[in-house]
Amino acid sequence: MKLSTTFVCLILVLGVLPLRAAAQAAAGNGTSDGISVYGLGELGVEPNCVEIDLSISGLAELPGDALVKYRDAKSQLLESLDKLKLDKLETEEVGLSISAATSPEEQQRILQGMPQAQAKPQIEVSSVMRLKLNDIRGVRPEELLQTIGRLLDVAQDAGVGVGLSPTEMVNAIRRGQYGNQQLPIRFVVADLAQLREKAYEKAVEDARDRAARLARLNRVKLGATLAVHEVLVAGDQPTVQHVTNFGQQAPPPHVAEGPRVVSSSLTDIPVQVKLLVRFAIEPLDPATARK
Amino acid sequence: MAADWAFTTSVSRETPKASFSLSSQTAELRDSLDQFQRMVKHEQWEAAFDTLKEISKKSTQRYIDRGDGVLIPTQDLVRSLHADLPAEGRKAYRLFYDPQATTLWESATGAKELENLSAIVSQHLISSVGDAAADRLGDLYFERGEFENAAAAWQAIADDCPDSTIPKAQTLVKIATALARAGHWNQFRQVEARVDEEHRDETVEIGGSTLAAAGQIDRLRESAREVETATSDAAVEDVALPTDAEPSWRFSFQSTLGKRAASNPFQLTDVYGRPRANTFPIPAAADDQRVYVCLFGVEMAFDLSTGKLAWRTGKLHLINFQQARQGINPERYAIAAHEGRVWVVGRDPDQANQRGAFRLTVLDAATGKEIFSSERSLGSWSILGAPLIRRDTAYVGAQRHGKGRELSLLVLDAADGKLKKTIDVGDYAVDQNQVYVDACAQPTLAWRGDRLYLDTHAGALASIDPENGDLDWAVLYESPSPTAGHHYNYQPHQSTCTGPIFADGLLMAKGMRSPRLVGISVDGPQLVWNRPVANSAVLLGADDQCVYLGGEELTAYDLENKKLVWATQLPRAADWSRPLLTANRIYQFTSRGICEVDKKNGELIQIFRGADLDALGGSMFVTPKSLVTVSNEGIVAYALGDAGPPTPGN
Repeated sequence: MKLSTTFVCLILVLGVLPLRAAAQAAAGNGTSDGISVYGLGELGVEPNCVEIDLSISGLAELPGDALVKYRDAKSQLLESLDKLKLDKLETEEVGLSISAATSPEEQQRILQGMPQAQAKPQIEVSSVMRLKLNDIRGVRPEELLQTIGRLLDVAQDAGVGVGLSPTEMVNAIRRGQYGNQQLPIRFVVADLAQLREKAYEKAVEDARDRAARLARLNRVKLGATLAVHEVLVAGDQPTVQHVTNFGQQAPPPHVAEGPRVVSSSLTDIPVQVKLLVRFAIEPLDPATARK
Repeated sequence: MAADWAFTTSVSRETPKASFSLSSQTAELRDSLDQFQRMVKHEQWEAAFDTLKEISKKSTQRYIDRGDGVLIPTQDLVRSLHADLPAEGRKAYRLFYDPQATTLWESATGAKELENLSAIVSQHLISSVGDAAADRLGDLYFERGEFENAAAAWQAIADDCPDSTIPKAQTLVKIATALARAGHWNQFRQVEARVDEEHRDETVEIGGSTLAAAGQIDRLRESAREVETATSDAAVEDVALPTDAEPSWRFSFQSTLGKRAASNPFQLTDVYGRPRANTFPIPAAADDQRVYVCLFGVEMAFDLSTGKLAWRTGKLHLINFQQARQGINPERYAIAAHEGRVWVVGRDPDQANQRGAFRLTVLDAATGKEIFSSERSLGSWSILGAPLIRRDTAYVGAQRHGKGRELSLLVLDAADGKLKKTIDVGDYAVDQNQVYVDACAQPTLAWRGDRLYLDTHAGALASIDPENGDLDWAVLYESPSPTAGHHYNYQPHQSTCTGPIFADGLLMAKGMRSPRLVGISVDGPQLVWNRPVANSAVLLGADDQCVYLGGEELTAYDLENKKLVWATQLPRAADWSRPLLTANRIYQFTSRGICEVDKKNGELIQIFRGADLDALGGSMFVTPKSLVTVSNEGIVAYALGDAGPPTPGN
């Protein structure tokens, strides 16, 4: 008899524990008390900047030769860009590196599993020349694409590749780096500060509207805000929105560029803020309750 | 401005990994040389001389590394070993061999004169008649116009006959005269300096006259200046590229009938039956009247002014037939225009043999009528590489049918194609008929003075005496073997064969797959340059400042300090696109048009887009009235102004 009482108690305790844990978890999510809703604030914004990544490299057996090749490729590109006389164009060199490299033939041999030829080691000096065309908001798309085309023409005439160098691409394939990719040509919303303010306002407004709706339908009174969580804020996360070419790895990170949103398309880019908001349910008026 | 960054361009002579072998030294030969050294050390003269005699007998066709990476005939080494003997050794040698040498000397008359004198110089130079024989041999060669041989004979006295009674000043002036006549100004300057320092006030007997050594050298120096001026004036004038992209005429290789792919007129297949990229070379040539192309054994000529098809040698469906063959070697076809004739290397377009022989056919440039073909006179040979035509003789590389490794040089009568001489050069490491994914190596030739220089493009550069067919010397350079066999997804750069050229008195060569640019002072010979460059680089030419390389990028290397002066990346171009070098410019036909580059600093001056917008590049020719481009898409001619440039000999 004593044993059976203990057994029943144990079952009761074990049965109640998960229920309490679930209740605590729900409380942690802000869904146990009050009304929890998502609020979404979204603005469609024209990009204000275009970025193009061009790879410059010098490959040679002698480091001195690689440096000369790199130096001349860079100066030729910059001189050609200067000739375009584009006021809104900025250039920024990022990711200057010197590393051991292999010839394209050797890379193919590696990928094909072919016997390796006894080749001399090569040195590659490379960097990404980032072209930034600023203040493009309001420019007609045809006109903008034409300007981008001119920049790409200049790059091709200067023998410079758009995106990663062949060596970098093969290295990326070899290492299976298919994620964390960056578009070589990007449309960017870089002036996010004011836009995000507006999106926040919209998100809060949206959350209150949703909560009010739920309160009305459930015949309760919406109370004060108890908790707010940021779920998504434009510009705070990796900015890739579209898949890049197979095997491309990310160019070096932007330097002190602040929050930004990018897209491969020349369309309005969504600037979103998503919040999770918990509101209190105000206690019912006793008089109303009696009725 | 050349960069001052650290780099090394010193000439290192580790044994280069060449993919070509000459008949070189054997272990047995090396042992014999060691034995000779031991005998000399112990003053066992008779045994030492016997050892050298054995070496000479066994290895008349073999070459030996002189110790600095230059392969020289073993005979030359034996001669220098004789010269390096101590005084006792030379005395002993005369005791043993003077009777033989004297007999040869006394019978050196008439038809036997040259033969006997050569025998004394090569075998008994340190005998008591050696110097006199060398002196007379030099005179003989000089009279025959063989100036390099004359200089070599007299040089033997200066270098290897320390006991000679012939006045040194006289020998040096003779050497200088022969070198001046042969155009070897680098070596001439060395001799000039020696005469100035040591024998300036002496007199010499030349042609029965007594002359001041210094005066004679001064006269020769003046002629050097004249030659240098003439050479610099001979640089091809720059081309004023057309301003209008509208061509005067164009011919598209794409047939309007049965058009399958607009940008791929040639539907080639690889060994797996897959379509090949339309980037293979189209052999083309031009003269002042016509442009010629060779399409898989069918030759065509187009009138330069109208673009009309002047003649063709085969039916057009044969082109399709050849295209459908797997394992076709487009890079082995070649065409050249020379003095009213068109020289073609190609296969019979009717034949379907996988390893069919390549023939040399000579056509009349005006009519396309065949003058002669090696198919009939040299049926057992397959031609390898483009011919070099000089006066009444043509030189071309070849292999015996079924022997894809060997390389010989055929010396032909340019008038009728009759074989004058065959010179065996050596062997490739890989059968050139079994090179499928890479381009196969083909010898290229250059002429200077009375010598022919041959680059095998597989790691060996040789100097050949075309008169007697002897290889004077050879230099091995690093050159990886091509990839033999098939590899499904392996598509390497299709290297092309160019050079060798002369720059600043040096013979410069860049093997098609070699990562080295080599420069050889042929007087000696001595390896002066062995500089790392890109494997895919090709030699373009040189001026008095730089040597220029093309390929995936244009580069200029300073002739004085060997540094890379500038490098210019151009838009992508077909591997076989070959730039044109003029006095101040380099022009390259690329996928984005003809790029004009300043030779001084590598600056891209302009791009003439032209009308062949689908092309990946190709070859270009400049005639007095036209600029012609030939790509895998077709031929396009643009009119040049009235003051057109002279023919550049592209």
